[in-house]
Amino acid sequence: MPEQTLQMLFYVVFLGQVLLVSFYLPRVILGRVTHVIERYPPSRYPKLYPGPLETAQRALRIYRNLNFVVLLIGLAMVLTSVFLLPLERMRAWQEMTDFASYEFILTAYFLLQFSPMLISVAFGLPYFNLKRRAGSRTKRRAQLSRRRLSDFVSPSLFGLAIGAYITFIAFITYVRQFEFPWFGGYLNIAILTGVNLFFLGIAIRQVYGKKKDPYQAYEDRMRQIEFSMRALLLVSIGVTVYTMLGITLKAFGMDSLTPIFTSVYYQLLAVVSFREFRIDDVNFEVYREDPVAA
Amino acid sequence: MEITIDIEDSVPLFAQLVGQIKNAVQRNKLGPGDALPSIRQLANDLELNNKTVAKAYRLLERDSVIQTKGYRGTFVHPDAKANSAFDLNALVASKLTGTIEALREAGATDSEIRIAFGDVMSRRGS
Repeated sequence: MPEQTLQMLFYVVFLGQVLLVSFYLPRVILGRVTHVIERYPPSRYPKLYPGPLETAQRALRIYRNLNFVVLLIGLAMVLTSVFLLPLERMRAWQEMTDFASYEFILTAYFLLQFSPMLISVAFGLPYFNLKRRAGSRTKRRAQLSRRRLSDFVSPSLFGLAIGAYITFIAFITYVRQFEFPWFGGYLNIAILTGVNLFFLGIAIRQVYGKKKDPYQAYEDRMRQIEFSMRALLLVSIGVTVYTMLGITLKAFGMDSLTPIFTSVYYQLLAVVSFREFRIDDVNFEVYREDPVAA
Repeated sequence: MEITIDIEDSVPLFAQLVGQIKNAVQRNKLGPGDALPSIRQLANDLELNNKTVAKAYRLLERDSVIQTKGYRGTFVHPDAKANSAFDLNALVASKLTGTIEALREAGATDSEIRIAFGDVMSRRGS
């Protein structure tokens, strides 16, 4: 593929990442939260708001403004690259650096794109703790049935994740025989195993750990766990496939495609991470002063 | 099957758990072989200490209402219904009442009975 076409393709994909992660997804999330606040106001659903509404609204404003700043940075990066820098200078810059720098910039920007979410989660944690303290009721309920990890995971998706992991081990063992100087060898397996164990830890915490929201209906909690499990499995499969793809591209000297795939990968990661189940399916009655169907 | 624990109730928390699980077995809400939640799961769901749930499970296992099958977890005992009808506390209370009444009839004072009861219990424990 000609260099210029490849570069333009990268800009288009990167622009997609900028707009998806810093414009579209935040807009969807803010829309959902605003819908909840309007439909389930503190006057009728006080247990949904352990702190003053203004605190939540301030957090939303921070989230929106941060995303706007990150969006502007992303757009500036694309516009500067496409219009302001002549191709010759771009090429010189590219030769000076290498494709790994592209990946570094992409990763750094992706982390920047995630920072508003992380900051709002940091805001949300004390809010949940407040909810837990407010929810120290004298009567506590629990279902007398055992939960297992397997209750929340579809066998086909789980099989796919295991299959991807086994394929990854076989792939690394195969590539190792070519003795590429840049290849990390079994370190790749160790890192991926670590990542998967980390995901397993999150999954166990979700299934057996303390509930964050003391008022949440049992069915909603089960649905939320199922949702998280699916996301964790999808991310695990994504990480595995992405790593294999990266190694394959490098092995065949097609590094120039890596930034494009990295950007696509980050976009998929963002979509999986930001997904939420339908708000209308959530039982908000448990947050009323006198719950109707707790 | 849902259970409810009242932390302000005068009945100890472990006793409430034991009572509710036995009650569920009696009312056929739990059948032989049904899997029960792990100690950690139930303790986290009810926001109780693990030790409280472990104590309740220990007492239920002693009464053969539940059985633990190693790493596979805890299950309702095959004879749980018959076993949960048996109230060991009521038996202890009834036997003690009879004994105390007999001792009083023999002329022993309450203080003497209390001291003797304490001695016997501590001797048994040592």
